[in-house]
Amino acid sequence: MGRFSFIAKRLLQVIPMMLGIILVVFLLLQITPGDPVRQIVGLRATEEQLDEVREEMSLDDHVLVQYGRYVALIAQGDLGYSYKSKQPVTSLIRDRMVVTAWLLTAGIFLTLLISIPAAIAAALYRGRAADQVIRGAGLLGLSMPAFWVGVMLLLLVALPTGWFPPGGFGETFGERIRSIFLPALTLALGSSPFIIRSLRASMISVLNSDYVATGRASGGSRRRLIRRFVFRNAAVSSVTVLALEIGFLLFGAVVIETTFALPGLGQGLVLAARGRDLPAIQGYTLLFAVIVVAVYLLSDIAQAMLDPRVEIES
Amino acid sequence: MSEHLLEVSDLRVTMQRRGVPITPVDGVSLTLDRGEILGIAGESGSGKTLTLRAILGLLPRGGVAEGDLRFASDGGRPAPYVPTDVHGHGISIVFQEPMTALNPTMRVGDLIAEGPRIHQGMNKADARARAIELMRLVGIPTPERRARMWPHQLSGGLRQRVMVATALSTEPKLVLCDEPTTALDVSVQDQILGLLQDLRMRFDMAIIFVSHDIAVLGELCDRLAIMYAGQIVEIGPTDDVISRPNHPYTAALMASVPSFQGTSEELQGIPGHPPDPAAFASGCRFAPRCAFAREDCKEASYELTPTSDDRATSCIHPEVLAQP
Repeated sequence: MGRFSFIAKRLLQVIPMMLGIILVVFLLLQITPGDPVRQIVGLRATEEQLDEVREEMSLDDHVLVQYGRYVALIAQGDLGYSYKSKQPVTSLIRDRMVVTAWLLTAGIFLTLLISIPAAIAAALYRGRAADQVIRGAGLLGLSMPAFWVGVMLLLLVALPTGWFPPGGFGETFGERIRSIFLPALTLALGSSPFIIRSLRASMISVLNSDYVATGRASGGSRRRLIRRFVFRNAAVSSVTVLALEIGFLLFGAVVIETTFALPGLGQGLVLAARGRDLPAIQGYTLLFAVIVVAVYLLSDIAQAMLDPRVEIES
Repeated sequence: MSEHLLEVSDLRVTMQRRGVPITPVDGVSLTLDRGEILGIAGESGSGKTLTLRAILGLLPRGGVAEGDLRFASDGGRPAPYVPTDVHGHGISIVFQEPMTALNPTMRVGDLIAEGPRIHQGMNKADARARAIELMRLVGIPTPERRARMWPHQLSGGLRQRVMVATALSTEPKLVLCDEPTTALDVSVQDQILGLLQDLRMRFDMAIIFVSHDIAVLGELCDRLAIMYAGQIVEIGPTDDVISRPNHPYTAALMASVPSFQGTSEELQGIPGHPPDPAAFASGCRFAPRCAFAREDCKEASYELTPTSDDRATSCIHPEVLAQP
């Protein structure tokens, strides 16, 4: 089937893309001003000591050789050691990744939970009160920065009710849900307006199509019509918007994790940057890039699953 | 006498165009007998498609239909209905463009099975079997295999057959066809027309067939209605209307069709343009383009006047056409 060969082709494209991303991350080290070896051994080290470390780390080899070695190491899951903690970067990242994965998953879930019904309502009642209210709320959501929304949720919801911890990440499943809810909501409030807007627009164009008229003429309920004729067709184009959104969400997470004191990747990246911990920065950068690539790949796959015509248009 | 299946009286469709109300369908009345094929001919913008859509309540957004619609749903006398009553219960529709009229994200078999699942309460397997049966009925080869395909994987002709099968799936008494052959090759056109005639015979189904193609209508229809500027200007048995028009517009339309033309005579276009619904002429709406227009045409109010048992025209001077 054509759709599946499209997905396979898309998967193959990921390989050169990853090599390119690794190259950029690798060059980060090369173009950073200052001598990384000097950073490791300190200002008072002698030239001999510097050479020794340089040789130990094989930094005298040709750049391409170093790049090849870097790719090979990454392929084995080795991202080097943090300058600061002397721990492997992978173990630094691993725990933080769990937190951010929770945040993103819950954030996307809430985004869809808010956006889909709102977009359907706005499209069905376009131009009327429900549409105006949803549009107004969307504008409001867009104009409030995430850190402010986060602080407001903390002040107005978390503290008075005591239902949600004001910061940190829980241990048990229930605790985690509670500690991730408000950050995820902050994320969702910022990203829903985009999804609502795009889904509303594509739903309206689908609602005006002939095939929806055919569907209407078949005499099913409105709910059935939306489910079988409208939603899937409208979702096709909004999937791309959602994927783009997730790219932004990742960076939104940096702010939100700081606001809610969540020990996630965003917080880790901020710490690594502050400490000029290059291997850690490289590790985070690489991971963020991988996540974005993976999300785009998933969105392409989702699109191919939703729309049988994808093979033709690509 | 009242064998009528459908009665439309004084149908008016109003729409908003950039905030200005227009009336692209203005006082259409027609009746249809059981098993009859009625053609509606007219230029684009004459309101023929909107008339058809109004019967099923499928007007574009902002469109409002007024008038009296009656349909004999269960063999009795025609009774007033609201469009949702007849969706899947007696009236189906076939659209012009089978690519845009078939949901691209449903498999062909599921599309056809939609009606039976909703209205006959069939489960998935039964509905699928029914869909395959319908596909065979409309002449789709290897229906078992094609039922699993997506609409875009079929040729235009097959897609239109799928559309017809979808329309038939709820065993309608009336199928509305909105230029169903316009987007197809001529050879495929003939196949679809043949199919419709065949189905009419077998199921005693009535059809309203809208087209700008007089040749197609002449081949298919029992009666023919000619629409101009949102009104029916002439109606009658197809052959009579084509060979002896009672309205100058009909005559002009026939003169512009190659296949009804004498051997050496030149084709004649109709001078001027079809009128815009925002600026219909008062009086006879065709008068500004009519070669026979007289002074009183400008004040003539619209009325479809019978000229014989089965014919009617809105022209107040039909006798002008009788002169050589």
